[in-house]
Amino acid sequence: MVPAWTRRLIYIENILYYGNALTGKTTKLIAHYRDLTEKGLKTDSILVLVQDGREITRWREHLLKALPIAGSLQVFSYWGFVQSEVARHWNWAEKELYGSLASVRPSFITAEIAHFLITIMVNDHRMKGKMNTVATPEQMAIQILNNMNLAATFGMKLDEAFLRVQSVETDPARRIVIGEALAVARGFRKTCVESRSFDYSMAVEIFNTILLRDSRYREMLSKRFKVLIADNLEEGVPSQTDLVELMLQSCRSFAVFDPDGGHTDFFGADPDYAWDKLHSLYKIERCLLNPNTILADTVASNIKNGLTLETCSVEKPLIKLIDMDYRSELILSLAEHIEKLNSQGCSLDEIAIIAPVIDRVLEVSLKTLLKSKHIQVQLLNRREYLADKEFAQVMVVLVSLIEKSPLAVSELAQAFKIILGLDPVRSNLLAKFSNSKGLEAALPADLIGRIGFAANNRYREFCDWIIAKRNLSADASIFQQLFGEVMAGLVREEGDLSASRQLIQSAVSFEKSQGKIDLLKGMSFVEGFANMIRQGTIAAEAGKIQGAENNGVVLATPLAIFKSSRSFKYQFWVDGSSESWTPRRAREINNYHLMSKGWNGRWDDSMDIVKKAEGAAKTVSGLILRCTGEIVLLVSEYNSMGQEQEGDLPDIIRGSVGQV
Amino acid sequence: MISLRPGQVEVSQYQSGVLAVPAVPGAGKTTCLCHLACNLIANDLGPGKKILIVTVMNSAVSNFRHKMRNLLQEQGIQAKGYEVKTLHSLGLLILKQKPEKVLVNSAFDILTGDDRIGIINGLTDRWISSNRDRWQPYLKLSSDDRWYQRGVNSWISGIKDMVNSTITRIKLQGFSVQEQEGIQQRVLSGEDSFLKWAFEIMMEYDRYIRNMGRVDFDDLIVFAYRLLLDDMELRQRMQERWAYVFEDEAQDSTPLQEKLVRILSEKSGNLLRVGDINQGIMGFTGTDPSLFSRFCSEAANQPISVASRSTQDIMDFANHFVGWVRGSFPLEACRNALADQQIRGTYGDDPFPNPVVDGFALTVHDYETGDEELNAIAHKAAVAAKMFPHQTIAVLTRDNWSLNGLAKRLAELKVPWEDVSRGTTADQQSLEDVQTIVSFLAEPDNEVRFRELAERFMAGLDPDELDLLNNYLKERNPEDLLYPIDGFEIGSIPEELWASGSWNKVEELLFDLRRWLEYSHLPADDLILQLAGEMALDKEQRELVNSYAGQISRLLSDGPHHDLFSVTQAQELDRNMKLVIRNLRDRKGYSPKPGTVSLSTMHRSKGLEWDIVYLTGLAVDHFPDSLNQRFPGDIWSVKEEFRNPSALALAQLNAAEAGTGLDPGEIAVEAKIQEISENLRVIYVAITRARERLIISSHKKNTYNKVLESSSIFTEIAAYVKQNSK
Repeated sequence: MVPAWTRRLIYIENILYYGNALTGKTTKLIAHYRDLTEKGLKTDSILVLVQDGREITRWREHLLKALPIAGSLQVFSYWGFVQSEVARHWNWAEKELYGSLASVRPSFITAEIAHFLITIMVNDHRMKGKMNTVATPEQMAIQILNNMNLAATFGMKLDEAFLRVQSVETDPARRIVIGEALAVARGFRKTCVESRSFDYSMAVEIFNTILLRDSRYREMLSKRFKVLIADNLEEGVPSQTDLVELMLQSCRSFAVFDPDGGHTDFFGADPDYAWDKLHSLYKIERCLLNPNTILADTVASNIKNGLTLETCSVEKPLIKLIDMDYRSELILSLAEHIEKLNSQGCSLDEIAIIAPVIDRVLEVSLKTLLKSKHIQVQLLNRREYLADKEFAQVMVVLVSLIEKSPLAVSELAQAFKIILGLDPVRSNLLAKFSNSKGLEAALPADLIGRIGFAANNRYREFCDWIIAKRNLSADASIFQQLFGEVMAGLVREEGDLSASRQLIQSAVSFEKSQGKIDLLKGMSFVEGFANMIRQGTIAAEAGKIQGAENNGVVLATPLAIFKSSRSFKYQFWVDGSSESWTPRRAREINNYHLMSKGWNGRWDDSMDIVKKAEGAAKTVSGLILRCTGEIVLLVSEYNSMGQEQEGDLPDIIRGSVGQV
Repeated sequence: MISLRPGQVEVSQYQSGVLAVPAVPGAGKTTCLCHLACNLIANDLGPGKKILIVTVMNSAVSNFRHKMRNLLQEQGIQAKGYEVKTLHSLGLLILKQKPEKVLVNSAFDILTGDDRIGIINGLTDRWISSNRDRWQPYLKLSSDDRWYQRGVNSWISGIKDMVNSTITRIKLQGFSVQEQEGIQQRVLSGEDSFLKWAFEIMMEYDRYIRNMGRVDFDDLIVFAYRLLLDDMELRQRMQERWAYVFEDEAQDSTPLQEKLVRILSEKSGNLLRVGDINQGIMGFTGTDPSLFSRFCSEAANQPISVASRSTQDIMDFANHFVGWVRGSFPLEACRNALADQQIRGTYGDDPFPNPVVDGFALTVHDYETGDEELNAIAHKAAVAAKMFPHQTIAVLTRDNWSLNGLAKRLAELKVPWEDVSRGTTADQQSLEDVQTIVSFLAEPDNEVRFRELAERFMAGLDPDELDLLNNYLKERNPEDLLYPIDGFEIGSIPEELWASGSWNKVEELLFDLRRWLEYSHLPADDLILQLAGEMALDKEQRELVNSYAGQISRLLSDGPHHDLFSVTQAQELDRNMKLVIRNLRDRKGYSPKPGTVSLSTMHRSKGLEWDIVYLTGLAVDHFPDSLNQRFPGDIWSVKEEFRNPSALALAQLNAAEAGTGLDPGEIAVEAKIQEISENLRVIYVAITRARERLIISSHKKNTYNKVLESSSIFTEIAAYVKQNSK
């Protein structure tokens, strides 16, 4: 429900709401939207730019509630907007890019597919003795992809993102590796261009260097949108800032800027650039101060100074530190704290467990310990993957059986358990037999004795069905057939249906990519697709993100907390002495700090230290601003791998709140 | 308030500069260093500055931290201003500052020692199969010799050991990138040599682990050192971080470690190194006690020679042993194995005087065979454990084979024992419980695993009932009990189990198994954590099980095709878990329990002490004392001068570095001299573990019943004991 006072707002000029977290900035933007439409502006003339897919959902929900009649809502993330514009005006882009019109529609590849393809290319380089670093091909591929994205969003040529990192390096070995990484990036870009399959960086580059430079497009854009509403300008990449600046020439605008934000710098957010470019174009309205500002500022200042210089005395949020030897003790203690709060009547959605890295041990142990107390743990912002869905796994097994692709006994056993309705012991027995003898072989009498006659009949029927399917060509349609003929009858819950739907869609999409991209043509459809599923490359359902609903205790990384726009009464900071609380952005071939437009060409140890401290200060103060009650910092001497932890966050916090 | 002894007093007054502190066993150097560090912290190190203490073992780190915390608290000072590190954790800390500078991804993972051996051995196997023409000519046996295959196997195993140790030596030599590349280039383009083999395999190995995003323990130090060499700003930052650098156990330094601590203390000029050359027994890991010896001769020197650990008899004997080695050891080249230092007892009103016992503290025993020796010592230790229930007792052996033999015998005698290198029995049992369940879930139709599981979890039944249950299970398949198709045959249950109520426990287990089987579709790491959540575990046990799950997570991330079954078969998991258990034990610190016999190799006994110590196996098959005897590590199937390829490869490395030639025959002799010298130090370490009583034994025949030459070492000891016990 939008507060009544917001109705009084009059928009005679561009307004920028300036303030830190939880000060009601977004609510004001929504109120403006409502006012605008009430005054007769059509929704399709209002462009809303938000941070990501999750924010799109949130905005849409709010607007649908706030508006009497909903027209076509133009709510986009920057990536979504770019993608939609490139597709919409493809003819203009195609002619510029290829010199002629082939009228072949472009396709957009997800970050996961781009990562997969670059990993293959890195592997090829490694086979030739190149890219000699201590990093997996996947880790190298992420850095290459990141450099490409930074280049595009910072308005640079692809090469420059690599050459800047190379320019501050004196070690010849590292310079060579950076050059080799650039060669991979160029190869990948060539593949994208040839196959008309565009990743994020390529699409952004087309948008910025072709569409936005075309006066016809600019004119069309200015006619289409009368108002631009931009949430979280500080999280915008520089090319998004440039877009906002351009649109302000013809649009009225309402926007939000959080001076403590910029948490998505890893993805290219440049809050300083956004502020410098845009603040003079708006009337600034300062929002109320977050009550935790003093403490947040003290801690941030102590982190930046590297020493504990200041102590501040505040009543809230309370900060407590708990020291333990072992990580397992830490998890137990955490579970006990939450259980106690729950028994005292604290609402579970007021509790957040925040860890810089959420590993399986933390996640599963916590879930198991709290499950027995009927307390649910929600992972915030973690995408689910098809590899985690039992129903999807079974479908992949069936296709692999049809294709005679190799399978593990456990995979088969799991499929038999679901399809033939067998218990785990008998399904394992059967899986062992069929894996070694093949589906054609009849079961020996002793095995029939163990699994039972009824199960034998079902098994034989199943085998005959699979064998009959082997005559069909293995393409994406096989999944549809499988679902219709076998799996539809076994659906137990909505999740099974959505997993099947997503699997079928992904198969079709993979098949299309395979048809276009040479790198994927070498592998069989089933093997390639099954591998991607198993490696967790394909998300379970686009747009569906765990933890969106307020249900149970939240487990999240700091970034996920920031993106959620939620505050919590109780925050538990886990692994307090982990260095991951104070990460550095510099990598072997990648350094975000060198990408800014005003970069002075220098990079040294002191800058490294400053940037690291600034990042950590931003994270920690950002969390403090989102706490309304108590923060508990849980520290263990050793991490989950048994290694000592060296992070200095506990000392800084102790000093800041005057605890010993 | 601590009362310091002579030597300790002078050390605790240190303020600045470079100081060498040679300290005898039991001299209380940890206490002294902690005292000094606390004084310096109390006098203010300067803003943000700390003292760095580098030591060798995780257990020593725990010990230092514990003492520092207590001492500072006693003085009312916040427990800050110091960092205690092993060399590896120091390397890790430095590397984490800027891994990208040495082309290491910030998410790098550390390969355990055993994993490293597994990978190097695998690559060496591949090298061996494609380089037969290079290694075969070294064999002295012809292919028609009946021992040929055994000889080949022995040679291959020797090559693997050589490659492993040479890779460590190359890495820990402290070469810069350019120096190493230069040497590598010269070796690879030069004549064939063991060093060349090692370099070829090392290149493959490095490529392999780099592609996995991993570094080994040696790399941690190498990369840290190179970072400090190449990045002057980081070097300065690290130098400013530590106002003082203290190095403990400096006799176990490698060339690289020495360079590292020198760099870190370069700016402050404050370096204090404590060690005992006579306890330098880690030569197989690339350490070199002569480095500390040289340091002692160059720097200001403050020895600590008063110790309160042992009785006067034991100290006299240790001192005599040093004197005998230096003056009369038959092989003259080994007489410098031990430094000329004497342990002195406490005096005056020392609050911790040396122990005093009735009678002479030393005894010797000579047995016919090694077997007889182990039987007798096990028996004696068992009797001692009963007679002196408040005393701590240890049996020290030369090797693991003897240690395992003793463990078996003590178990037969029903005497409580523990291996100091392993975790507590309860920790291990909890891990084994989980492993047993996982093994069954990975193959639930396997009758043997089902019975093993039942036996383990029904261990509380009396033996007769357990037998009955076992027989009952043997006649049935797991599915008949877990998921009977036509219902359960109650009549088939043994009457006795039913009547005693024990069948209820079986039912409970079956119920649990059915529930656990429902988890079997989960990834292996999740499954283990689910199980751990349902089990009653103490904090160490839980840490162990969580580590197991963490190790499996890592395995799964290496290969998504791993399923539960392949996880149970993964040998690297077993290896890594042994390390986790050892680390856990180290962190808790090992405290011998009175009434329980501690078993340890002499090497691992360093840093520990017991009231009664049995020192076994002082015969020439374990401790050769002349050049013409057979050495335990010798490869018998190759020509004489190549029997110690590791020593040869090290000499080739030194020659390649210096650009000089070498004579394989001379190297072989030098290697034997080094080995005998280190053995003498091992014996010295073992002797000085005893507080009150020391029982030393030997044997006359080897395992093939062949009469051994008499050991000059044991002969001297026996004569000393005979003379002094009167």
